[in-house]
Amino acid sequence: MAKVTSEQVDFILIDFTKRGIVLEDLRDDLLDHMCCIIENEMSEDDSFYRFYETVLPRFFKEELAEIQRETDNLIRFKNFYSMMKMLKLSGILTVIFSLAGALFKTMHWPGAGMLIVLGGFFFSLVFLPLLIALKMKDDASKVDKAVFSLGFFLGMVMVTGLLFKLMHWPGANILMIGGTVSFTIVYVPVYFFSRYRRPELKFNTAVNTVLMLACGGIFFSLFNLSYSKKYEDSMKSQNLEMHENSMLIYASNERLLAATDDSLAQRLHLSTKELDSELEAIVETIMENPKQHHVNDNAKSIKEKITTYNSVLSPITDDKVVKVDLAPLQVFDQLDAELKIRILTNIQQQIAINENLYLTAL
Amino acid sequence: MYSSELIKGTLKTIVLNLLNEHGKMYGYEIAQKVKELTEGKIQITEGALYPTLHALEKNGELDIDKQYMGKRVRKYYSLTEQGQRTAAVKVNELTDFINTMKFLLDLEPKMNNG
Repeated sequence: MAKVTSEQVDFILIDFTKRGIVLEDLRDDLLDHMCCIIENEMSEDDSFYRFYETVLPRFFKEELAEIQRETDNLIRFKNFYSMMKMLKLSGILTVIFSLAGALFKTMHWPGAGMLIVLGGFFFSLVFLPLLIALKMKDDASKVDKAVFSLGFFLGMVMVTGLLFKLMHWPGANILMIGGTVSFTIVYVPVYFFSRYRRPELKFNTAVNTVLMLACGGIFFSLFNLSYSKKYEDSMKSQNLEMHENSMLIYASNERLLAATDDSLAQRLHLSTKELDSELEAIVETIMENPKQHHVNDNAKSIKEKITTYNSVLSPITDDKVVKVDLAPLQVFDQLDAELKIRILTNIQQQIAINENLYLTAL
Repeated sequence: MYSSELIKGTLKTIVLNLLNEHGKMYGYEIAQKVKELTEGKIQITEGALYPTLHALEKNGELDIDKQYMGKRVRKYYSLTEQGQRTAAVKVNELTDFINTMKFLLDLEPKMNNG
């Protein structure tokens, strides 16, 4: 049995490196393998170099670097498997969280928002990006890859938009409408024209195109529903009317107050006026900048004013005089401008009526 | 000797099962063992064996025990716990596949054939 010498080992190592085996671990494997072959299969009177040259072609089809490339590919595939696992997991989580979220939201149970955000998060930020990455590894044509990736990306945008909308986060409309419009107008035609010429895909392509157009259209019209101009206008005119009525009651209260010297009436009037001017101030801020979501500071100061006002009301026994409810102000930030103004106008009217009831009962 | 296409899909299973039965082995040993067991009908090429071994290792299926022999390093591969589970799954899968192929290619007499 031949013994491979140290020089021969060096020679093999250098040759392997020259032939493109760059991974040290792999080189060690191949070196040991080659040495084993030489030690087991080479006859005593054969020359090392000649035997090496005849054995080496057993390792490959065209060149030795094939083994390196194949190893690289397979190792990269490791990620592929974990990505597939992740894809499955995120898919299942998406389904569980969104279904549970929908149920909780419908039943008004606590935690609905959290579940929906998690569902949307797993779908648009884990599931779909992974799908894009996996599609990229597919051996389908480059055009197909690009087209599918674009579709998944727009899907991500739409779902993220929907998520933002549900959570009342800013930028939701841009994401939703932008995503839907580009999906329907850009993606669907691209999808259709890149595939319909291929006979084996023709039928599926046609069906999918119709489905996607229908979905895009429905989505788009749904989004537009939330923008009813009629609704906005009617809210505005109602708010204005309520405001004018309150003003009339205030004027009448002023006249009634002049005719009495009741001390509680004076205190009530003072508190009412203070609260009223605060309400007017906030309404003004909202009207100046209807898109501004954070009127938090104002909401806080108004809550204090209401608490003081309610304490002034305490000694009054008339059960038609109602304390101002703080509850609608808890969710104040999440409402749109018209609803905010409606809540404030309601409070304004209520305190005007309270004062009026007290004064007229004197 | 079978064509490389036929062997390619089963190589992982062959390697895993061999290591499951023989404990730790090094690359050349695995190739020789397969050749010997199959009387030369299946010869694993170096070009297929080592990429597979490396991928299995990276995947956590194999452990490596290195033994230094001068400048040479001999790497003994053995199954991890995960590898043992995978081996069982793969062998079952392949058995099932073989049975299906038998049926599909009509190699087994069927009940209602006669």
